[in-house]
Amino acid sequence: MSSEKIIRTESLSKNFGNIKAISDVSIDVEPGEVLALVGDNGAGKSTLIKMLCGVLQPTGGDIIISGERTEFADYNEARQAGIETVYQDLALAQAQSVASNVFLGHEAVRDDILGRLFGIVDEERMIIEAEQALERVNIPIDPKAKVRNLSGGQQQAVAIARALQSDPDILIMDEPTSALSIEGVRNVLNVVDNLRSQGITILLISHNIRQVQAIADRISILAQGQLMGTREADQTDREEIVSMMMGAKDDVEQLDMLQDTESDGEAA
Amino acid sequence: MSNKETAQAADSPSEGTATIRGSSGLVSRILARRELGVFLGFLVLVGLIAVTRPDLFFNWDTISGVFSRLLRQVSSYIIIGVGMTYLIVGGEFDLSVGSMFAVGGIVFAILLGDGYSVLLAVPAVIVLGAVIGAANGAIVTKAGVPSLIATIGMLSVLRGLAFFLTPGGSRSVNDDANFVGLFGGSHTIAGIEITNQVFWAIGVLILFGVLLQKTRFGYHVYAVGDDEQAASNAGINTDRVKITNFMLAAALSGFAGILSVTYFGTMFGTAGAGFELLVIAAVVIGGTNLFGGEGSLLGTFLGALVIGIIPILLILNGLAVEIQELLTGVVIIAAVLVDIFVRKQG
Repeated sequence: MSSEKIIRTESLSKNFGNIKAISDVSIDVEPGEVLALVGDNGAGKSTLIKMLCGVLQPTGGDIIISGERTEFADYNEARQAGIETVYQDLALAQAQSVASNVFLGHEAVRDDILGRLFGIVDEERMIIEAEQALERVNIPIDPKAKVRNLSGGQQQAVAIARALQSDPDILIMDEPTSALSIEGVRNVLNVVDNLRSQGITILLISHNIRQVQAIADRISILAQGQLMGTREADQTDREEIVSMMMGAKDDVEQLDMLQDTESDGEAA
Repeated sequence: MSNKETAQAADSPSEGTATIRGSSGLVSRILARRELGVFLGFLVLVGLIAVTRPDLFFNWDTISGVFSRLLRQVSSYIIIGVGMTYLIVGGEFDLSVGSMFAVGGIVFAILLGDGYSVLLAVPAVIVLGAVIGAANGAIVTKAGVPSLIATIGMLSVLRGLAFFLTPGGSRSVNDDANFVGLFGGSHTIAGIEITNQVFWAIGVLILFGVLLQKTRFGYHVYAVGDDEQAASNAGINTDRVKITNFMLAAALSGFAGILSVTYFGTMFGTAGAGFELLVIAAVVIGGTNLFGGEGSLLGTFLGALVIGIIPILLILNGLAVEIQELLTGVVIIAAVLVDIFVRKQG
């Protein structure tokens, strides 16, 4: 791996009116690593990734992708730059098949005159390629099954398989395990591990410290829109991360709130 | 490793890879059953005619006339229903189709009366429909007016236009004009008079059935109706899909008007009133999800047969026209309730 960072932000800021959602955040992401962004609700995790995937534009600071200063007008530009995002709500069409969802908006067209003229979809190819895409995330799912008949973990896998269709260098995952069963969480963490071994850089947003410690290479902690620090996952512990998530304000009420959200995440 | 495999088995609702082929068979069987159910319902209604009026049913002369009438009537519902199916699958609907049917037939009659060729008048009416549909679509998607409000408004505008264009109450078409027979003519097959609109309806059904099931546009229609945000995130221009559907629905309604006026020779300003509900009923009875994302044109075809045979059954048994209206309303509500119930079970 080259020493060049695949993602760098320099003093990135985002204001909504008077509210500073993100202020002066500088992070580095190494190529091929899993970097977890943790923080309490409202810490600015979502705002930060929305700037990285082009949904929001920064108020100040820079985004540098593979050494190049970049400004994304929308998420299509980010996608072209090799950044794919799997949103928390997955954005899957529930009544459609797995294959349709993997190819949503980019359906394979039959390679003959009629096919190209009328946009006739190559269903066989879509099924085969969807199957391959799902093999890549190592979760076997019938490509003809309707998404709404799948479990939460399988749906997450479909969303990831779709994101991988464009061969991204960077995959941003927003709370991929928040609504899953214990088995589903394990599956998704396996998928993340798998993708890392395929050389994809992953930016993982989570509020579940235990999961993050198990899967991430490094952990960046946000609180109140500011970066509290970044730690090697194997050189920190839960206590340190929690205290960093508390930021400067170390009051009891917030600690209680944090523990509530933690146990929610694990029970779901 | 075994841990992971157990996890995957537990995570999947059915038993792992064994379902890869099995479940698609199941899905298509369930779908087929829905359409089979509608067809069986139609056969029951036909059976009721046989039971209540055996004198007419088992007499080829009368029953051939009954089926001729049924096919003619449902071909209008089918042609309009094709556009309505696209719209409903795509998450919208259009209440102005009945008025557009009248405007289409009347404008066609006026153009012919002014000496224009049928070959020019037909595309002109289709383009007029597409423009009106584009207006519906733009009002709904760009201005954010719900389709209920936008198309009820358009229903009134077009009905007013139909009355305005028929000062004497109706417009007539000269049967002798070239190519009129292509649309309004008929063939007698096995003793049943089959009007050309039936053949047009079958053609429209097959063409747009293939487009809906097999093309990228068709895939996008389903995706937009299923989850507009998801479709939009995936880069689908959802407004364009919806506007196209509105254009298709209005253009096909105008075309159905042409087929009607060329067959009957005359179109009244009141023509097609109430079609919107009958057509929506046919679409929903046919299994299209009223909330979008699911449905088929085969279902709409079968739903149109059901909607078409109910008044025939009533007329043959001497029931009043008012009862037909009432019953149609009951059938629509019942069909939607059954639909919601079935989906909850599924």
